Amino acid sequence: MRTRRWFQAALMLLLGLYLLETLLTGEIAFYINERFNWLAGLAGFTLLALGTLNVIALLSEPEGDESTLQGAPDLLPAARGVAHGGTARWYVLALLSLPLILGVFLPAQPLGAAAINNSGIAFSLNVSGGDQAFSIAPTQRNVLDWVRAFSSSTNIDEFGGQPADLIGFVYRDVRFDEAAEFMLTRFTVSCCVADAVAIGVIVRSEQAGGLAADSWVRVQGRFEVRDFLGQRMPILIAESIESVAMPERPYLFP
Amino acid sequence: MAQKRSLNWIGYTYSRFDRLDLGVGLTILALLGAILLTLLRGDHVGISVRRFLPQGLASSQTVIQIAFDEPLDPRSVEGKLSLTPEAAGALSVVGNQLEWRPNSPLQQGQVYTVRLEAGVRAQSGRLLLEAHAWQFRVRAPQVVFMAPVDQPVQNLFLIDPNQPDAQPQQLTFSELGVLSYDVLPDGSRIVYSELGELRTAHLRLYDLRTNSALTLLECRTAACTTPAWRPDGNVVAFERSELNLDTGAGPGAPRIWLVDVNTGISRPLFADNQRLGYSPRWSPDGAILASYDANVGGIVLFDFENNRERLIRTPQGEVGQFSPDGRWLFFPKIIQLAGTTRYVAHFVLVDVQSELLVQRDLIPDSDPNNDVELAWLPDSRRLIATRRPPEITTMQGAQLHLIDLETGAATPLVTDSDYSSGQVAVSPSGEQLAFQRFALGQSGARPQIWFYDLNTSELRLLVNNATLPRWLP
Amino acid sequence: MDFNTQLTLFSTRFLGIFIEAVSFLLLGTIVSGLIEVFVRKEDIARFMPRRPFAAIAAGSFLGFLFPVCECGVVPVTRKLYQKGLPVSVGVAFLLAAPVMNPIVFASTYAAFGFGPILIGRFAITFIMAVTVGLLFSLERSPVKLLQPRALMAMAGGSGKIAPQLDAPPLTFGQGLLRAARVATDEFFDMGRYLVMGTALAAAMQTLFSQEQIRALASDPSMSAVAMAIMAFVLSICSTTDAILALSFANFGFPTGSLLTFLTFGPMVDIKATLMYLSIFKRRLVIYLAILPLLMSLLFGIFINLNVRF
Repeated sequence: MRTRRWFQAALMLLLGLYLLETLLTGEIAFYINERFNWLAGLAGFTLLALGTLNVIALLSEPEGDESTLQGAPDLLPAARGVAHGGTARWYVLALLSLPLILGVFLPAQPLGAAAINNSGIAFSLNVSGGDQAFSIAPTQRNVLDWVRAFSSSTNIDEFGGQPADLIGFVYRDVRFDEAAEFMLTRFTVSCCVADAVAIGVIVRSEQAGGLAADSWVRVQGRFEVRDFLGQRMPILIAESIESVAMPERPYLFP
Repeated sequence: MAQKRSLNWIGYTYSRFDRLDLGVGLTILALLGAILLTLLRGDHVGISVRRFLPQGLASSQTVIQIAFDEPLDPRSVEGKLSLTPEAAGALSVVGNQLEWRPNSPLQQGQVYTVRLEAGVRAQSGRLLLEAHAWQFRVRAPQVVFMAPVDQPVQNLFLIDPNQPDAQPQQLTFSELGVLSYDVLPDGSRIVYSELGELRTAHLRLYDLRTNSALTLLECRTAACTTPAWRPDGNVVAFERSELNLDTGAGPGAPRIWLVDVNTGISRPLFADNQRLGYSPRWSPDGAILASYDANVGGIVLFDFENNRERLIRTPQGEVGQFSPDGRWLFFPKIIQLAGTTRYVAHFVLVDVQSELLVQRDLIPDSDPNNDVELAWLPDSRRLIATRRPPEITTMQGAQLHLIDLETGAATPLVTDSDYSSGQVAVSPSGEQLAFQRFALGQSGARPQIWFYDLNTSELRLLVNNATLPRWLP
Repeated sequence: MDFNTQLTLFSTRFLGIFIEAVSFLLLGTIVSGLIEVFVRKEDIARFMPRRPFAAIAAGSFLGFLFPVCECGVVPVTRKLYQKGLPVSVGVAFLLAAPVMNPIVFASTYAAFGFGPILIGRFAITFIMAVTVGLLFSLERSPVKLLQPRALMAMAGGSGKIAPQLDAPPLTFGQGLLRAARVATDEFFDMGRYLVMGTALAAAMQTLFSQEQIRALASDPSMSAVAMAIMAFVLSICSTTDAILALSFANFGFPTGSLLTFLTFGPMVDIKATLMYLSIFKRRLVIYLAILPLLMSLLFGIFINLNVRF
């Protein structure tokens, strides 16, 4: 019983440490929208505090007395009887170590082209804030800003000739002419990766064929309004394409 | 307490299913019933029309397009679209868009009512619940031209030739100038070559349905000129000359390229980059592209259906036009009149549908007339020739004649020795001409665009200081 | 896709959902701790309207007082039960609070503006929560509804700390240690459902293609079913689901189906539903899933077939 309680305390401490560690290393950006970072931090500290208090309680309790806290009235008599003494069963402990195991032993990696296969891709995103996008200078806009601007525009032709400077990863599927076009893609995450939606702009370039899927590139060029699969949409005609490292924050936050 | 007891009583009676279970069960049944009822009541919203064209004024060759919010079931649209007054056309469905093309030009000046009956079905099974109807008016064919001639920068303009006091309307506002253009046969779009910086030239599209221009192809290191529409409007052929800006070697020779209008992807016609070519001309069915190849000294006919090339040897370096029925292609030849020192130009007709490319002369070699230009009438049986008669010197003006294809017989149409005529454009109906005239012997004269009606013989000045007239259906 | 890629995808998705949800869960635990300290049983009895309908309606608006999403609402509800909140009122709170709170109002407004989606989301959620609450008021005995754990705490006591004079008063340190013990138990009790639900959601997202579900977008009835499935599987937090719903709008999902997603999702998703098991008996958890499902489908399909926007 005490072993399990020790284990419980250790698990909470480690989970708290893990949360804080992902925050400090910035890996948290692979998992959730940055505006919830404070919440994850709070959770990390809460877990550390709870773990520490449990350790203190364990240390201050005399050996062998596992049912009541010293000096305190037994407040959970029934709970102990029914729910196994308020100490989680082994399978519960195992379950709660799963996030730790996955987080620590698997390399942290953001969603990439492979994830699009089962979450789909959007050419236009009817997200809010479309008008805001217009107040950003064209070359300062990111993929999300452009997609927003396209969606909220009433006249798609206005984008013809506008310059763009974008970073994203390369994605292709059967709809794309492999030698001449690809989608410059980013994931948008509004809450956490569960709701990740891939968005992108179509890029046409003679260099397109040489770019590996999932590689991060920076594309500079101009938009032209063209047909893609029977739909008129702005397409980025690349003037230069260079390989870049994955950005620290791989997702965009709407 | 009484309530409590009754509750217990119920709990006792329904020991396995208490009041809550009963309530939940009944609610679930009620909800399922309500869902079923809603489904049985059927759809009261249906699919809806997102966009439809044309609106307002339209060309007589206009395509009617109706886009829905969902992909359509092609079988469901048959017989659903009607025009008032009636007009025959072909209906097709691509994705969520329905398209209707008239079999013959719509009547000019007529207001048409388009009506799409309810019952058009989406692939999901949803129906169009209310008929969709709207009107548009068919405008008369217009004349497009380039002006002003006496300025370094020319732009595209439009004028209504049938309104005597019509004012030209400027279509493009290019800063460096428009070099050449072509009008799509359905009258919906114009492709033109626009001069850019460093002598580059780009291809742009002017859409008359939306009155907006957009870039079709940006040629940053080359001049892309002489665009020619494939008649279905999906591909443009053009001449591309590399400017060799980085080596300073100066502009190279032109090559024929193709650009897909829908994707903007361009490619050379021939994979071999040593193949030169210019003057692209499409056959009316879009299957053959003719162009002149100076290296082989002839007109190359490239057949897209079997990727086969055929050659018509001619040293003149000019490619004429396909006849509207697709059978003939003409090109000029220079001959010396027997027994004289005079050289004249005659036209040769090639039967492109014959395996051996059988050639015939339009007029016998003995004919002393000098034919400068030729233009087809829509019936493919008659042509308008710009001809210099034998009795005047070559310095004097060329005049318009109507030539019969079979007999070669010529009827003078517009003959005025004070003027030289050329650049004849025949209206879609074949009843009217727009052409360029230049007053000879007048200082300060500019090329003018004139209008001629074959039925009434009405001859009228359309616009001064302009060139390259083309009809916009 | 090879196994390694799948495992990495699963891990990323799992950790994403878990970090997000565990944060909200712990936030809910902190709120429930505050309730523990500041709210007394008498307060609840005093402020609750007497008539059941009024009480249930009030319960569905409690979210504006305790703004929590569907992960945080579970510990709070449990605590409120321990403070003597009637079961039916708690159910209305549990179902409505993840939507009926200022944060979700703001995010839905930001995504869709003031219009049918915003009004529909709040109105339909209210109707659904009150209906289920009223049904649950048919059974007044908490013993038959709640898990013994939640129930025993109610009977035995944490709510009785302050007035319980027969026990020796706790020092601050002892109180803190006890609170930590209670919070730890709560965390592990609900955490196991959270981990199971998260793993299930991440696995389904990794193994099944959303494209197939999206293909149903244009059918007025099947699209509502598809949206309900998406809501259940995605298990994303109600504070941000409006933004995701917008992207579904882009795939052609009609307004009614979006409302199904926006009303059903916050009430019932894999992880939240599993966490309900820490409060309610299994049978009731099933009711709590089926009733909102059918109601949100009814509303969604009805709107799809009968309302033109």
